[in-house]
Amino acid sequence: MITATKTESSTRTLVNIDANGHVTGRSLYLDDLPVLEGTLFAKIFDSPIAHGTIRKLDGSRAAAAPGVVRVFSYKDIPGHNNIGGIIADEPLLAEDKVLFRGQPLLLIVAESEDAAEAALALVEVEIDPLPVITDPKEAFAQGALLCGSRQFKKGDVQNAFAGCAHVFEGEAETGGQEHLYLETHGAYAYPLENQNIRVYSSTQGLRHVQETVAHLLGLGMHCVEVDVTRLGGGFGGKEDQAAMWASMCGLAVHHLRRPIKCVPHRMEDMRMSGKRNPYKCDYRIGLDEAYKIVAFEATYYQNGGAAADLSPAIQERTLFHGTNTYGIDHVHLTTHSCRTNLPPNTAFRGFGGPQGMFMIESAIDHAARALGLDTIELQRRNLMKEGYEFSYGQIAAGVAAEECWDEAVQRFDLEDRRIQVDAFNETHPFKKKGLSLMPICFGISFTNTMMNQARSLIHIYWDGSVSVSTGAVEMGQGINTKMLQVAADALGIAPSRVRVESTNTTRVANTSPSAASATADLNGKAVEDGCTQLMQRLKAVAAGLANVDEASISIRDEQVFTNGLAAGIDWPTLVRTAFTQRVNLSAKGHYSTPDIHFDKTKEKGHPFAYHVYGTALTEVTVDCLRGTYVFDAVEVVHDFGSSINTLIDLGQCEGGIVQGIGWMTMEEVVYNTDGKLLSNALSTYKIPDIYSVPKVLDIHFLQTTGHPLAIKGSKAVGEPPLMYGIGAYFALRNAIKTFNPKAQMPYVSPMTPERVLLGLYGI
Amino acid sequence: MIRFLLNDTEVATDRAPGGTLLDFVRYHKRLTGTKIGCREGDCGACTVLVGDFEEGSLRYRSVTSCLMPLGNAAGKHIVSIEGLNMAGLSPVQQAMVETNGTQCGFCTLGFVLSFTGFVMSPKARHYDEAIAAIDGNICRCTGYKSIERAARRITDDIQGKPAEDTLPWLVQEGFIPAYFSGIEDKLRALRTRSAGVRPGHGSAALTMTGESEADCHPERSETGMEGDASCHPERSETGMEGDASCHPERSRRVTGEHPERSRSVIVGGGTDLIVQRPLTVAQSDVYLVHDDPSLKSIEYSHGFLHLGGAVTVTQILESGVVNSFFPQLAQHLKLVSSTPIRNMATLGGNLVNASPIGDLTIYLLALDATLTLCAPGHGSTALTGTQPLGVVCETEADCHPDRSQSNTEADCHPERSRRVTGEHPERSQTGTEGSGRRTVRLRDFYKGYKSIDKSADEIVESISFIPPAEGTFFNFEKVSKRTYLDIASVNTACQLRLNDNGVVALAHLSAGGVGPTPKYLAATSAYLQGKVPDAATLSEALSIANGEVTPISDARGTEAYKRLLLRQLIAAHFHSFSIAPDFVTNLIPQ
Repeated sequence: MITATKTESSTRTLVNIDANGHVTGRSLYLDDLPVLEGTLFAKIFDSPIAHGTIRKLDGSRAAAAPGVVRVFSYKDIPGHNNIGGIIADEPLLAEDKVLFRGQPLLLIVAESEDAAEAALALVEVEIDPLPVITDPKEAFAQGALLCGSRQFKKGDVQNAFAGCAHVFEGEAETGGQEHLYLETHGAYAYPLENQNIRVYSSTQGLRHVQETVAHLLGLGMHCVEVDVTRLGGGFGGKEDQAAMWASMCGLAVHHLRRPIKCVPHRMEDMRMSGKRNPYKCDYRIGLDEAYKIVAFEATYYQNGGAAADLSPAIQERTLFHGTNTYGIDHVHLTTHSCRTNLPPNTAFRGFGGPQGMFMIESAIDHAARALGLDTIELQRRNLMKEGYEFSYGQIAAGVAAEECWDEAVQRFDLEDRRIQVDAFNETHPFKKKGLSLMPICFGISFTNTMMNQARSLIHIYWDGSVSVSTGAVEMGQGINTKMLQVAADALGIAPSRVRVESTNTTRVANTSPSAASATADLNGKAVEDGCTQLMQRLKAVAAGLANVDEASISIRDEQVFTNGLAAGIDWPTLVRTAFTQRVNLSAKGHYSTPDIHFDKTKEKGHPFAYHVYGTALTEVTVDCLRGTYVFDAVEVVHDFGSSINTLIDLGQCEGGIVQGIGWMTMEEVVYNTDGKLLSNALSTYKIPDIYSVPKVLDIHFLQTTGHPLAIKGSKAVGEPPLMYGIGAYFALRNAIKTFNPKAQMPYVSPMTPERVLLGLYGI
Repeated sequence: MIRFLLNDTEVATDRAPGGTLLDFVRYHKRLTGTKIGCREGDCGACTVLVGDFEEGSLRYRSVTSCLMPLGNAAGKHIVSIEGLNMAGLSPVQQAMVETNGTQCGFCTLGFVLSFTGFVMSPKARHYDEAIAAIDGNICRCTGYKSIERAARRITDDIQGKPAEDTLPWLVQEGFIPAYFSGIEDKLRALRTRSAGVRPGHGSAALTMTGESEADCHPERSETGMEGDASCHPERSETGMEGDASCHPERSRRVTGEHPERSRSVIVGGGTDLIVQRPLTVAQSDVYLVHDDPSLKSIEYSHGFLHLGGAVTVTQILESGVVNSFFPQLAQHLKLVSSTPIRNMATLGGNLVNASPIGDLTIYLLALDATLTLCAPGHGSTALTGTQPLGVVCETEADCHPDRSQSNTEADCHPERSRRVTGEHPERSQTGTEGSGRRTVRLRDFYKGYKSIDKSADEIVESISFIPPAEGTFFNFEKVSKRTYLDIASVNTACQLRLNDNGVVALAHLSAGGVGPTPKYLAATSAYLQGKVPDAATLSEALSIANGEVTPISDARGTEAYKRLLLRQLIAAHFHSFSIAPDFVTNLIPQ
């Protein structure tokens, strides 16, 4: 795949550098690491009920079981019994209370996994049950909040509503979503000299894992090394939540000084880990006589689960995206992060943004239906324009909302599609098609400004080969390939000379998690910085060799050029010469996103480097006898900027859309009122298979130059496409309404076949 | 000792035959390309290919190794990704790379294996078949579109594939390594060497089963199993004395499993049993019937279709005679789990599993099928000394009802007399004939939730029914959250025949997911008999059906939904028969 002649102009078509390992089974995931001699296996004993006071917790019989080495409780934790990142409110092992079903109570370490598992059944536990809350509004009513509520305000909604010609109020609700990374969570840790520990973790967030393990043990972060090769999927689920599994290993290593492996079974992973936050929302939308949305007010009740985890940050992004792509002058958004007795919910691709977008789309659909208008017309009329001031004070620049929308309408021939859909519906009594358009506007940057920084470590070995380390974690998004492209392009050498290393806290410290769609931008810019430093040094060497001044030197295609002419000095010669001259061939790159800031006391600022835009058209056919459905097409105009790698970015877009459709349709996280997860396995929690994806999934790359803060002009692509999936929900609604105009359907997702059938037949 | 070929190497192991092939391949052979995604056959990350002789030819099928008992590998060729790797990439691997069909890579091996299974199938050459081959593989990253593009490329690459002598062509084109050319001979040689260990058990002759439990099966001690515990030290330590009652989902593998080693377990496909009770299967005597040739026949004689208890769903799907009676068979069976599961799951297991939503059970109820059970302990066909009595381990939880594990006993009736009788619809003891055999109508087989009319020492020998005659309507409906590779919210089948006057001459309706047992809708069926199926009659039939069922709310839907769905699916039967169109139209809300 990789030839020695590919450089800048052609790395944009480079295939994923990890693909070869993937198709041959040679890529190494956590559970594939060779197990060291003496390794012990850990299993977690978790709470069987969702809320209660621990009266008795006795692991002595388990500890005496064959093969069991030791049973750990919170009393064995020498440092802080906490795994919470933003707020220190979540114990690793419960002390006196349990707050959710699946909460870890004891850790059993044994010579084999089977022995540890068998010993789980010997733990004696008695818990006095307390009332269980699973609903965020109920939690709010009882004052159970995880953190302070937040409000974004723009204009004067109360006066604006008073002046509106049309005002509509309603409720909307989104369900949770299980990440279902194909590789479960897991960690493998072993003792180093002194009190030090190395942890292999399946995590997106090394810093949090490192800090949590260290502080749990009363150590400094320097005592804990975290290494990540790759993840079998993350999607946000392995951002902060990976720390729990790593901490379990760390605790046992600390005491036993033996290698400890903790990899859960899928059912354990599903019941112990948090998911996308479900939301409930009360909204009010006001329009003038020209159907311009004048005012929008929303109160979001976020189901945070039993501990804060990332929910405080997630609620913030809900506020940032509460008005999606719409230009509204008067806005008042409020979020409450509600404490319930579910596993702490967490990051999931979109990070609260999708939930916010669903709510305003519901409000617009509500208004359009009530007014007898076409929802699509109402959406188009209210798209934001250049210079729009978001509710958080940022002035929108490079707005492509209308451009993407109009391109989609034209390219996918909306008018003709409507005619065809109407004709189909006329002639098919038991099949109905529905159409929808879904515009998106997604802000790129961590909303916590501090996190928008990254570092790289670049070594040029004296044979001319190159090692690149960053804080980015490869989890399928192709970050290794992109980092390699950046390095090869910046150094003017063939991609085959570059190796992208594992992510390791001793090479790159204080990493931000691979999240927020910002990984390539932040880490790529840090790689560019490191490479630029090296190139300056090498140019000086080359200038000396060619006896010209540095300004006339360029290095590309593995050659030195002076004033554009080949100087007869190739890359290996240059590097060898530099080393001979005792030039430093290693560099540390650093990047922090310029221009961004946000003042939480005012809830105003300029938090995003830029925004990503796009519009999706969705067409669905509903079987009105059975309540089943097939997506005929999802067609998208998406603002990739100037894509650094079209194949990888296309894959991110397609995968995100299908994940979004899954969230809106078949993926239903079901807890009973006791807080027990019913959708607790792949047999009861369904994600899209190859037959349930849209027959046509057409992604059109909008031609733009991109944004200077995007890596090589290539706009962030990880999260935004997921929100096109919201269009699936509204296409389904429209089809159902065609069959049964009187259908009383609340704005509740996911739109399972059950909800479809109940809508079709008006029950 | 279990002997088989793993990639290019012959292996012999004395590990427990009820353990999974996955654990053996991954942890004992360190072939880590085979991944663990769910351990319940629902993701396909652990897919391997199994080469076995079918009608004399070596044929490769995909399976989920997490649900395949290690003992079922005996005498076969097991292919993991490591067994496909060559110096360069195969066209399948190349297609996945170049289309970006892999992102995180964790599911990718499963797709490569399944695609290779498609490529190796002599007749398969169409794009739709390539897609069907990966119907058991789940990917969370790509959204499948790039994998579809890979499938197109792979399909293009095999257009020159000959239907005969396929293997040399595949080797020549670089789809599989050259060692495959010698596998057939190696396999035959391995089987010849192993023959005689347990006569009459087909490939099962290559296994010796389980640990001895002398108090339960004194005859076991003759089989030299006493060494088992020492070769599985970690297993012998896992005492079962624990009470997990406060943690019904405690076990990492199972819902509420209390592994019981003192019972003997008969295992067919294992596709539900190993989901439900992996520890029990791994730690017990297992008797593997999946490959017993005497239980794998499909015959049509004297007006009856007879299906052996260990016939797999794939066998039914590919059977010419079954397809000749059921034109929509492929469409219906595609709704049953996935290709790798269908390759393992047996019919007898599906019936004995007694899941209220077993797809094949519902299908067969509407065919008014009859089971032939045999009680080997009383039969005229003597057991050999090494055969265990079949104490069937019925599953309790209802996680994978559409899977099956056979409880059919091997070899007790080699003569296979097939005397299923339409004139003995009720339970008929045939012990007087000295065979210990009796027949029971499937509709009478289910006595309560997971309770069946079968004594502990009886096994299902065969399933028989009169196939729908020309002009008889037959339809199967199933709705689940996801159309494929999912368990029904409600499923139903209907057989209907009208006489020349348009009067119902025969009606059988069944429904699953609407009560504790797979339901034969007796009252509804009886009501329809002799009536003209007009809108009013069918409307009344719906009310009767609604009165016959007792669905509950669970993860697959609320009670209200299941009742509505049953109504709709019964309507769908008549819609598909084009009977009383106004009846269906009347259901549309006005």
